[in-house]
Amino acid sequence: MLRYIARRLLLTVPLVIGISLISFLVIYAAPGGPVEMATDLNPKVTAEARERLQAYYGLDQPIHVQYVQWLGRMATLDFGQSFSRDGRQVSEKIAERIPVTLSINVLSMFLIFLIAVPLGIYSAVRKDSWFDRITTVAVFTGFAVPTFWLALLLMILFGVKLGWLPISGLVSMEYESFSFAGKVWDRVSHLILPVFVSAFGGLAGLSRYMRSNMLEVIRQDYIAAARAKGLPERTVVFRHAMRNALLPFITILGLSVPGLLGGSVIFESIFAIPGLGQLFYQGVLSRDYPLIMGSLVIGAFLTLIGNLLADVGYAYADPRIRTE
Amino acid sequence: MKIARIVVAALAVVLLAGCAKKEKEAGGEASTGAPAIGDAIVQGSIGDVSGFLAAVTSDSASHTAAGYVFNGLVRYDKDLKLEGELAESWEVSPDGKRITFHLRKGVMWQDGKPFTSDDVLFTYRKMIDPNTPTAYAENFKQVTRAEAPDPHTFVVEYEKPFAPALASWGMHVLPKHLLEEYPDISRSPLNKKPVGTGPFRFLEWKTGAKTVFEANPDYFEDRPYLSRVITRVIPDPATTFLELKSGGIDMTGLTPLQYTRQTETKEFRKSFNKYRYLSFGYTYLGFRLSHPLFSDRRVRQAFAYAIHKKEIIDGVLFGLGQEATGPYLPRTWAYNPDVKKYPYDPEKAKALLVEAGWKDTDGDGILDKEGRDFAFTVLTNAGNESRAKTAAIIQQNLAAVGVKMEIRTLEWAAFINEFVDKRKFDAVILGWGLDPDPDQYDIWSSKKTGPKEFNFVGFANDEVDRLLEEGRRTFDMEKRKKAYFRIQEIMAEEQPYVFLYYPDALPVVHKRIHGIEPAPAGISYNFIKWYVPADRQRYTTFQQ
Repeated sequence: MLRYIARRLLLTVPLVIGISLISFLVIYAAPGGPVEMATDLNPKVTAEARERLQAYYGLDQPIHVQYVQWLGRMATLDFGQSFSRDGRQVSEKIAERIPVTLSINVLSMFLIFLIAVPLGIYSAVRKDSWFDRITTVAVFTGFAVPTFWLALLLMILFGVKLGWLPISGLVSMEYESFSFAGKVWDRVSHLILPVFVSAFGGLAGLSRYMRSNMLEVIRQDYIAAARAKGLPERTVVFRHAMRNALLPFITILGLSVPGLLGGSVIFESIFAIPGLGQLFYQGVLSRDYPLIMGSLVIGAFLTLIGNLLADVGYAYADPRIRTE
Repeated sequence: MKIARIVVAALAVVLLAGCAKKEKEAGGEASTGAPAIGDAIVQGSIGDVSGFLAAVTSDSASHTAAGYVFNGLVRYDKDLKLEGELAESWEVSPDGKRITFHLRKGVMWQDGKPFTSDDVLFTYRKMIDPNTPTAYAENFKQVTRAEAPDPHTFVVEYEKPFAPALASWGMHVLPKHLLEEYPDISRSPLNKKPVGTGPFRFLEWKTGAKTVFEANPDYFEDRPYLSRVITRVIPDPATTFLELKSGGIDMTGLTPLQYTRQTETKEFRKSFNKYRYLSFGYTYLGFRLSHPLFSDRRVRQAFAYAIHKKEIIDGVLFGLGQEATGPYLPRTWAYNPDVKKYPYDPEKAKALLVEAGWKDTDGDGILDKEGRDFAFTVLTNAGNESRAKTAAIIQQNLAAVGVKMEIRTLEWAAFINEFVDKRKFDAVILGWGLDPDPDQYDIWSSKKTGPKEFNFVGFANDEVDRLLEEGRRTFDMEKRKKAYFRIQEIMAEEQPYVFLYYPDALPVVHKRIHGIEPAPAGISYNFIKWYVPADRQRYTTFQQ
């Protein structure tokens, strides 16, 4: 097992390099570079000033030289300096945004699992009941509703009309002057809408997945056998059926690892949350190459690690896979 | 995407407007309270600051923030005339080649060190230093000699008189003692924690979230009344508007739709004051003048008659704008009101097109000449709702006189780099922001048609070239005025662009904030005089 893991880890190195090369080429092929994005159609900026800025960023060098330089820095885990004028390290910029994005994503994923799993099971057990039909309609509505629209409606209702919840941001302006309890509530109240909105859209997929897994398992002979033994329905559903139906969830968990640090541009923009999604989006808009590359490499690495974890987890949970 | 979002938001607001509204903000009638120190103003900004040294940044969020902390030698007053800021006064030598600035005495940097002419000299040297990643070196490179003969005098000399140079000394003066040791000022700590001479002191920058400034009690003019200026980053305009309505922010800019349709409620008027004045810019339809369709002046004049500017302003800006007549802003000293006007007149347009040889010979409703239809494509950037709508109205107007115009919207970077820069366009709809100084050499000179230069329509007129040169080579206001008035007459005749409209700026500010007096320069010129009467102050925890 350890050898398997080591081999997989070793294989990620050429994969990440390959991904980074493709990303690099695609980003540089996009029209307009960092200098153009900052100075296009600004008559105060002369051609000479542009050239100076190009040289300042090292963009006057051939692209393969730039890539090799970047790769060289990456080898020492140096993501380089952001092209934004704050001149900060890319790693520092990404690191300061991780807590926000991570906490919102963990919370919303927790919420999704908390609701989707029981919902899926109950729908499967009571297939074609009223409950099943109503949840089907509800979760698909949730899936179809655009996030930004739902977010705006909730903001109007709870923020403007009722005045119960703050509309955007992470803390209030007077945060520093609050008591400890006040601070906690301030943070929580700012998280309610974003977490709810980001969880709402994800419910449909998982609950449907759970339902169909469950339906599949319930039709198996061993469930019939369990029922024939005279086990109570509760035990049949939760001990025998659910455990098996949950197996594919390991894959989903693995796939959601990169998503934890992905961040969503749409809801982070709407709720004015300074997370990784916004950072990356702004980086793309201003062609902040080192920042874009840094984010992509982290994303690629996390995806590969997530896959690995899923495979390992699967092997651990399902003996049939282990023996093969 | 963004447009769709705003439309949906607008719909949602309209739909819910009937529901009961809870007023969070106390107060209604304008309080008669006297000016008082205290309270904070919270603003919304679409983008985050990228640094506080204006010399090395190029986004408006950064420039606005830097303006709280730093001062220049000169600035524009409320009537858009230059006045001294860190300079008490200045003299221009009779030959126009030498400017002597007399600096204010007793000005202190926010860390307590005195401000002297050494700081100005240092700033100048940093501006022309190749290690400084600035985009604004050009005006300073014209300087042939700069010196600081005594702590309160600063002298610069130019090879030729250069009128726009005076305004360029509005560049923020940097503290020498804090920057000396950094070869690249953008990498200095000052770019993240600025120390200036200005009305506000830097307090906090939470990246991606907000910046906070507090009043500088030792400011050389007067201590600002407002104790704090907080700018929150809110990337989404719909969220910004909701934050405004719920009391989360005190000031933002409105869209014409919001101004006319969504803020005309009693509750809104009770809590906010709306302002309206011409913004510093105009929108135009620009032709590639070497294109066979547009090289004939009569065709361009026909377009000017055919395009219904009033309809565009009513349809796109809800009437919140003014018809443009040329590249200068009304109410600035260089604006010439008596140029040739092109009132909407499709018949005259048709006559001019016939004169230019365009007739509908095959009866398909589209004019043709030598077997070729009058058809072309106009380009504009995606995501700019008002430009897209403007294009649609122009398309209708032109169809009425037999001209077929296709509209193509492109992503900004591709639009500029692949089409405008490479001159691969028939016509474009774009806008220019305007400086108070009327020097537009870079946009209209026939020497500025190279790649990445700004006369991309290829306008070339000997008289304009001469007048542009004349206008920037003298400090004599009357001479300058004469040159720029004549330029506008030629532009009106030549129509290298069809000048469409000047949109209005539509700021909104919470009613508890007093002391705002709109002027040609807008509202923010007297920001340090804004105040909240003591009985209406809201953020009392920031009291100093």
